[in-house]
Amino acid sequence: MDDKSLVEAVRDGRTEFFADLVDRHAGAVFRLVRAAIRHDADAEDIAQETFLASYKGLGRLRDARRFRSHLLAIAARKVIDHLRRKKVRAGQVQMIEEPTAPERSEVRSLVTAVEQVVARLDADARLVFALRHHEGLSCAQIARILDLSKGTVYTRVSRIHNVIRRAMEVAE
Amino acid sequence: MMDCSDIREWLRRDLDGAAEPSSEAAEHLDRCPACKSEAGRFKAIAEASRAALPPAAVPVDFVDSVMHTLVEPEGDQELADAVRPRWASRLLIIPFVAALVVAAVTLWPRPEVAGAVLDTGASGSSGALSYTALEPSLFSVKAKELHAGVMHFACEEPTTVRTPLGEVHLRAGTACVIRVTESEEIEHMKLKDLKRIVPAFLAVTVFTGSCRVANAQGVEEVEEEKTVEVKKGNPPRVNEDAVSRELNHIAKALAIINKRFDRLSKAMTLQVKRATDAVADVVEVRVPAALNELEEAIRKEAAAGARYETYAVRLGLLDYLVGRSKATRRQQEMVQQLRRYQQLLRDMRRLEQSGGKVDGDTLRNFERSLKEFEQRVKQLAPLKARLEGLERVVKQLMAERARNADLAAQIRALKVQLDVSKQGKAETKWTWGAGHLHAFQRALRQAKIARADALAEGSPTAEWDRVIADLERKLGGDREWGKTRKAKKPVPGLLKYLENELDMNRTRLETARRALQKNPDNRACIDLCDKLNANIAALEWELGGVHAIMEKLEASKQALAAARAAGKPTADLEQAIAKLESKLVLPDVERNPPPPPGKGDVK
Repeated sequence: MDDKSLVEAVRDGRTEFFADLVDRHAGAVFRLVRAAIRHDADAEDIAQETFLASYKGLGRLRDARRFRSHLLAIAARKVIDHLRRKKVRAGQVQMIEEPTAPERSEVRSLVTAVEQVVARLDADARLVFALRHHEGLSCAQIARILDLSKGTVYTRVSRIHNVIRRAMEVAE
Repeated sequence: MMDCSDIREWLRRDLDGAAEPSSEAAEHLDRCPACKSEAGRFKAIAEASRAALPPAAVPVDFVDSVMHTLVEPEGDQELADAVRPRWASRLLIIPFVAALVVAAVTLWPRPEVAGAVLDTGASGSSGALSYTALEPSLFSVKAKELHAGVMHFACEEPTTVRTPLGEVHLRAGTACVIRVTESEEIEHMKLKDLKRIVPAFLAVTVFTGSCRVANAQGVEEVEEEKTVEVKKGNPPRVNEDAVSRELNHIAKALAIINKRFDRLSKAMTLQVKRATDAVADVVEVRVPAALNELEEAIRKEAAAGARYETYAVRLGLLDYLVGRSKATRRQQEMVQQLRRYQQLLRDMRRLEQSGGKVDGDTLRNFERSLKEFEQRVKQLAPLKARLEGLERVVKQLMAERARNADLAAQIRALKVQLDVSKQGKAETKWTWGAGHLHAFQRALRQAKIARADALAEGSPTAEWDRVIADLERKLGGDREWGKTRKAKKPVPGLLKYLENELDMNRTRLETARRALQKNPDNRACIDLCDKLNANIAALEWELGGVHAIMEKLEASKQALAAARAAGKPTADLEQAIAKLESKLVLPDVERNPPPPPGKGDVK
């Protein structure tokens, strides 16, 4: 069954089908939240809250085929709320720090270089980065999920990739 | 038509997720190797970015816990309402309002309230539940979360209690008991992600019936029957895929642990072997050798009884003491190392008992090595006692050395003076004054050095001060060293001079004869032999004259003695003796060496 059929079944009162939806999309939600928050216990809580909220919001979902986007948008909002609550974002003015040249001995692979860059990203940037590369979403899709303009998302993604390119050049 | 720069811009936008699929770009990439290479770089960036994100495994009970939050009666209703499309709820609003009006009319006289009061105490996690005719109160409930165990609850208003498996939504006026039990918990050390692989059970007992209280005081008695609804809401549904994934993770982790353990075991065994060798070296070679040397030195000193000549021995003892302190430190280090190894062994055993895979052979080898190491360390104990005994002896010697420091200084001063006198005597042979000057200056320098040494050692310096003052006094006098005094040359007598000359000429003659035998025609040798023969003859003649004078002198002396004894005048005799003695005096050969006696001179 595809997402649309499952959503309609849940709307008809067959709640048990929601378990299939959870099972199908839990990985994506959890990866996204985990990438942005980097704390397992909080990520699990937020993922649960995301699914509960999505269940509650099924009635407002017009296009059942877009359940995944709907879910990721909720997760992103939950992440942002969580970060606001924890004041994680306070003081984070600059989105990305310029990478310092990693020592050649430490750079074993390009992945290491990228990991170093990703580790320096703030939570918003990690969210965008995870949606782009974990979920393979386009800028337009990310913009819809995060309720941002396409240009903003494109600028963020492009800046991250520029930093990664420079880091990889240094690593090479 | 897209050119290379367009393609690269398209690749960049594609990486950023802003490019539309383009067949033209695909064609260009097929035929342009440079752009294809650039595309490979962008692809590598994308793959590296994907790999760089932290891995996130969904907890195995995640689906169950999410679903559990949806199955609570209250929540179910609410959620069901929420799930329905809005148009559906709008259709239902009319009967709902009608039912509400009917219910309000019917139920307006409030029934006798029967509720429950829970005193949860300070912690709020559990407490005694009692029923009351009064309104239930929740003021004492401090917590609305239950992580594990049992919680009694009475709800005055709709309440949500959070549990590890989700939220439990409770209606108002409901008393309930919530139990959270974890049927099985599998933990693996240091694997944070593997806390649970079997979900917990949640049991919710909800009291929904009305309760009455017959107690006159109005509390504490339950009479009314109660409706109990028990939900084992979460049967242990195990997500098999998740469990198998977790088990794979465990297997991988165990493999890594085993590898690390093997490496560690090998390294530890090697270290134990090295430490054992080091101990063997110390115990079997160095310490016994040092002890033997020390005993030998002490024995020698005792046998010689030379208390003041044993500084070398004492220095050796001091050196040995320094070495001993190093050996003690080494022993302490070894004992600490032994403790570390013992701790490691205990950890290994614990790991083995906890189910971790441990290579039995490696462990046994390690245990055997450790036992050998323990034996070696134990062997140090008797050596230590022996060392302590010797240390006491050394202390006695050191005390004795301190007592005899004064005498030692005196002896050294006397030795220096002796050296001075020897050197002075040796150098006064020809230049008496200059020889003494140099000897005294050297002695003064040596005395000053010795005094500085004594000061550094903490020995008394009075003796050195006296010596230095004496030498300075000697050097600071009004003598003009090396100029004013000429030594009265202790010239050898004529007899001795002639004998020496005779011996020398005979030796030279012998040499010349040997040379002549080899070369009989050598004229120079022939002449030399003739000359030497003549010299020898002259010397022998002169020697004979000297002997005659000496006999005459002896006779004159005897006569002088007899005359003195007889009381006769001795002036003539004394004059004669003086004349004879003057004949025996060697002429000044240094300033006016006599010409070698030639044939013509021979008398």
